[in-house]
Amino acid sequence: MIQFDLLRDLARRELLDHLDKYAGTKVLVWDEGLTAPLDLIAKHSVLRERQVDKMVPLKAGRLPVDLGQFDNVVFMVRPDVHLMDAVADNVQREESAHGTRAEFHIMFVPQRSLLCEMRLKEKEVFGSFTFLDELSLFWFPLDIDVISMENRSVFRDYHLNDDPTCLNRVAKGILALQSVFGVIPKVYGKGPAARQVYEFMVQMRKESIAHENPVIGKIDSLIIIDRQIDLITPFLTQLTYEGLIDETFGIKFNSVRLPAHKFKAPDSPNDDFDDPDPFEMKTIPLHSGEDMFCELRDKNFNAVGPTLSKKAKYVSSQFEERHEAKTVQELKSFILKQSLSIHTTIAELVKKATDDRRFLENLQVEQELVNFQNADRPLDYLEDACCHEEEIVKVLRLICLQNVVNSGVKPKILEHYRRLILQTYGYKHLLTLQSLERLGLLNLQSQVSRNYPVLRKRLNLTMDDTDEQDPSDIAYVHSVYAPLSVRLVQNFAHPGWQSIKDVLELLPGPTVAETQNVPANLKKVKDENHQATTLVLFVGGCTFAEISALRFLSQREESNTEFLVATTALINGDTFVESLMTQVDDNLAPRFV
Amino acid sequence: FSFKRAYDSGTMDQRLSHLHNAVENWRKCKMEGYANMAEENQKLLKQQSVLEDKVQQTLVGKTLNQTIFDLLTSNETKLADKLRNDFKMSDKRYMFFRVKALAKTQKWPEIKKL
Repeated sequence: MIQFDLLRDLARRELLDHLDKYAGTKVLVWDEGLTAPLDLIAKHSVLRERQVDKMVPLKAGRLPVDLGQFDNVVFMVRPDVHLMDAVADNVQREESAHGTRAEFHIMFVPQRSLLCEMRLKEKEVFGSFTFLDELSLFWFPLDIDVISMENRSVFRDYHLNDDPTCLNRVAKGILALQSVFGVIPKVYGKGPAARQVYEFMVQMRKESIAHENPVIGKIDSLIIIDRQIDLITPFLTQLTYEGLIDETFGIKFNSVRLPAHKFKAPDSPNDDFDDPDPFEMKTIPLHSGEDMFCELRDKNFNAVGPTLSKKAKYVSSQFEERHEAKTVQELKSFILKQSLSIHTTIAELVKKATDDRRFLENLQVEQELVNFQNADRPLDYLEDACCHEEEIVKVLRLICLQNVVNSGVKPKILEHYRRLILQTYGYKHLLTLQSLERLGLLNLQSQVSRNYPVLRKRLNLTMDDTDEQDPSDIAYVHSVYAPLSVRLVQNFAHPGWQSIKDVLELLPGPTVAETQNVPANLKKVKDENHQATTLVLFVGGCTFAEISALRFLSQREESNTEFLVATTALINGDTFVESLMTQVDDNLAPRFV
Repeated sequence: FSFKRAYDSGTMDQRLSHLHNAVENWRKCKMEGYANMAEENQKLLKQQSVLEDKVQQTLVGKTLNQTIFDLLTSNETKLADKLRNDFKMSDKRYMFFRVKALAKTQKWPEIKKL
């Protein structure tokens, strides 16, 4: 089974090679958007070995460090034009201050951009840079089976602004993968973005066919899923352990920030005298490296409690027996005990959020929507939500779900929702409503037949008898609904997409079913249990619940396919809606509101 | 885009004139729904500035819900009622704010009367 950690090592080596080029001591000025990704690749200790003595966030104005003792200043930035102003400002101030002897370099992640270089020329600092490098870090390996580009604007750029450049980078990312894991013979996909990515891939491969390094293929097929073909799943509340942590607290780069005082061991003396500061946050890593999390993350939240208590009994029995022996076993069970307590606390925090009346009501409205039960309930529920000043993303999320499930809403309801949003949150959101209409997320119900009822029947998307403790179907991730995207992948593995041709026709955009020619000697050698490896690429974002569903498919005995996930970003309903909103700040609005 | 420029502009009349262009643009491309909403925005701003003098409170720039709630808490029920009819606010929402305002000003008998 291939692991994406290989990518991390590659990225680390590339980073360190660049750093070695800049001889002498270095101060690293990094763009805050890259903090967490960099942590994933190279810990501070590794950087210090390469004489990176100081790391400073990128801000306009003087560098908060005395440049006298540094030979190099290295800017690490994403290729965003507006970041260049801060970089130029830093350089100009340092040079005018006392003409420092330090050399300036820029490292763009993941690639250089002409626009940025032009901006630097405009600011007359382009000449002061010795090296202009790029760290071709397309994918951040979040786990051994998940990689992400962490770019949340792909869906908006392509489907709203019709700008395909982001898909160009996705295609480059796939080619970068193929340089490591070999060319993927079979390429399938569904949706306009999938087609576009494939075409870019073909074009690029033609240009770079000459120097394609020969690597034995390790991945059998690639399935490109355009988020647009399944807009129901992201709007539904995820009910897996990891999904719910993301829904309630937000997971960023394999970690979640939670109130620190919740995690103080009860018996440890309380170091600060007054009660612990409630705002002090603790960052808790969530990674498959930790066995406990690995076991819990994909479970339906209702199954987490029983698993935790079973583990607790096991640990306490373990602990008594071996009390005296200082064996590795005792150390092992101590670690287990510690991660057990962390996850028990997290589970309690999540439980508190999910016991909240409004959360449960919201969940019920969602589940009724996908099952076509009492259609007029959402209107009342949203009216209440607006009275109680619920966050706008939560209100829009439910409206979009209703709209997608029914392929639009009736004129009266459309006008009612528009008024409700504009009168509660302000007329400045009119542009957002217009964007949602163009994306088919808030529009008039056309007479044309509604797709979802057919999809639901043909792909049995809704199940009411899922066993959350020991699930038999991927629908457990939402308890009642099986993610459409993963159902398509399930059908691809067995019995194949030809059997659901009629369903695929219903979904927007073209179907991709192509093969890339692979030289015979590089063909993947069939291993004994002929385990096939399929890479599922989500263009526009995917949720933790979808990943859990794919892992569930991989682990089933009769499945002979191993699924890996690549995505442009990890999203949930709230962050997805947020990425589609037009931020308009209102200069007239009184500040204290 | 004129609607966005409306919200960038700092003064009332600048905003109203940009909103006016936005309404026309939307009308030109047959997007009645958005034109009407932009018009409502204009209407709200104008009414807020008029009401501001009456109740000596800053209202301009607030949302309709907020404006109605503020009017109700300074028991300008007649004004709030008129505003709500102009903007076709649903009875349910209006009633909610009435009760909330009465509660805030501890007028329990009135609540019973509702």
